[in-house]
Amino acid sequence: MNGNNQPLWRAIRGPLTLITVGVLFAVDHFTPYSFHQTWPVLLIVFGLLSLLGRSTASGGGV
Amino acid sequence: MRRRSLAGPVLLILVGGVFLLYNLRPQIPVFELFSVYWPFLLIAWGLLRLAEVLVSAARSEPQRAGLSGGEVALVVILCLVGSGMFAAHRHGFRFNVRSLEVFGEQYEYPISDQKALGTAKRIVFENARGNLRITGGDAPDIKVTGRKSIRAFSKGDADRASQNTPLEFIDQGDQLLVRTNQDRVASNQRISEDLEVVVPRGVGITANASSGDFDVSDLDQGVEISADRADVRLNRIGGAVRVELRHSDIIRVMDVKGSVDVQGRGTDVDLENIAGQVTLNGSYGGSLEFKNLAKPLHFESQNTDLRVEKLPGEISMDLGEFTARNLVGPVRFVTKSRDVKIEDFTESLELETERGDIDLVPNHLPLPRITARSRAGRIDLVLPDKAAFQLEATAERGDAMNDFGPVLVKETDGRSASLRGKVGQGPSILLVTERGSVSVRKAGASGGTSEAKL
Repeated sequence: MNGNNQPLWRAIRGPLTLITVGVLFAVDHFTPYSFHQTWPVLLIVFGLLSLLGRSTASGGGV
Repeated sequence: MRRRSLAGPVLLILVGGVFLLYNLRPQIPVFELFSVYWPFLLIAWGLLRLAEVLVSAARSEPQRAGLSGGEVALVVILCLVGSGMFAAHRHGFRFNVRSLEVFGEQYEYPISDQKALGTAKRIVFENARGNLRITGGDAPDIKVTGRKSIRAFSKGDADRASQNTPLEFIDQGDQLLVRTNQDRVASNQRISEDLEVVVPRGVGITANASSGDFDVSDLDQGVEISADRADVRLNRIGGAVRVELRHSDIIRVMDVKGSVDVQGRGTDVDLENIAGQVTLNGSYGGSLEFKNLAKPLHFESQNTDLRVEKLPGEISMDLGEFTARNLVGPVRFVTKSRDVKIEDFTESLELETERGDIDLVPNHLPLPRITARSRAGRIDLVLPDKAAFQLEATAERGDAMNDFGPVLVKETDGRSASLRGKVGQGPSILLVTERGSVSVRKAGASGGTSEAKL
């Protein structure tokens, strides 16, 4: 694991967001929770992703 | 080396597959499935990209952005289309009804309601799809029973559709509107209501529908029915009847005291014991029966025009044949290609057929005035023994036969033959056929035609 770490986190951000959006819509369709209620999950996921990116970046000591 | 993502090709294959499936197997509700399950497409897509990223990372290949700008746009479009279709689906819209017919299930709900008539003199029914049976009764209330059938994919859908379509009574002063509100669910949802209604017999009825059968009986006032596609049976109606249909298999109207007016197209028509005037317009491919009409009958279609002053007997006709017995004239009948057979008629007869044989047996004395023409077909006239008349019969390409002997002069000229003459003082009889024979016979002298040929 070398200089690729940083771009890796950035690279999986897109797909993970996509999966989250899909899950939220599925939840909207198949459970009583609607998208209007569950959208903050997206913010949380964004936050977590950038946090993870930062922690790996700082943890890497670069 | 940058490998291109698999997502694009996979998406293309998926879309192609979906449309192919829709074309080849229309019973599979692909659009229904898409509108509900599309979020899993997003998830699958995300997982695919995630796998790609991880795999390339494990191989230490250079990374690129997780999602390209084009992909983001595509995802947004997919979300918009998907949520739009899902919203439509949730509100009862069905993308293909064909699959509903195959996969949907029938749910039934009972209907039972009652309402005081109030000041209304007329009840208006609006039931787009379903059968309506209305009977006049002695109670002052209107009573509705029946059932509602809804075809849907799930009980929830059906329940929702049923809640959206309540039976309503709306008092509009002199009329009471009874409606089933089927238009409140999407037009391609299959919903129909069969209603049995008992109304006070003194009330008038108007019914509008797109399809369904009507059965109305025992009322003192008029009945008006209009529908796109319906069978109509009316019995014992005290007022005028008006029926307007785009298509029907049968219209049967019996024992009506008022006039009857039928417009439309269909198959069979059966009118019996009508005290008022009868007007029938439109083309009917089946059999038409008229029996015991006290006032004038007028039937008009594209090729046919029939007028009878009064019909104590009966008329039965289909596309190839017209048989009538006991008519009161003046009678006028113009038709395209029918064999015509009329027995017992009075006053006068005016008959024209393009292709068909004509058999006329007036039976009554004094004879009616007769004009009969056929373009192609024989004309056969049977007259009572003591008939008085003035005859002019022409077969332009055919033979002329005569039972009355030398009083009628036969002339032949090339291929044409004619009979002319006068027997006593009587009305004029004109028979013309362009191709075919003409014969004038005496009643009771059956079989005498051949000997009396000349």
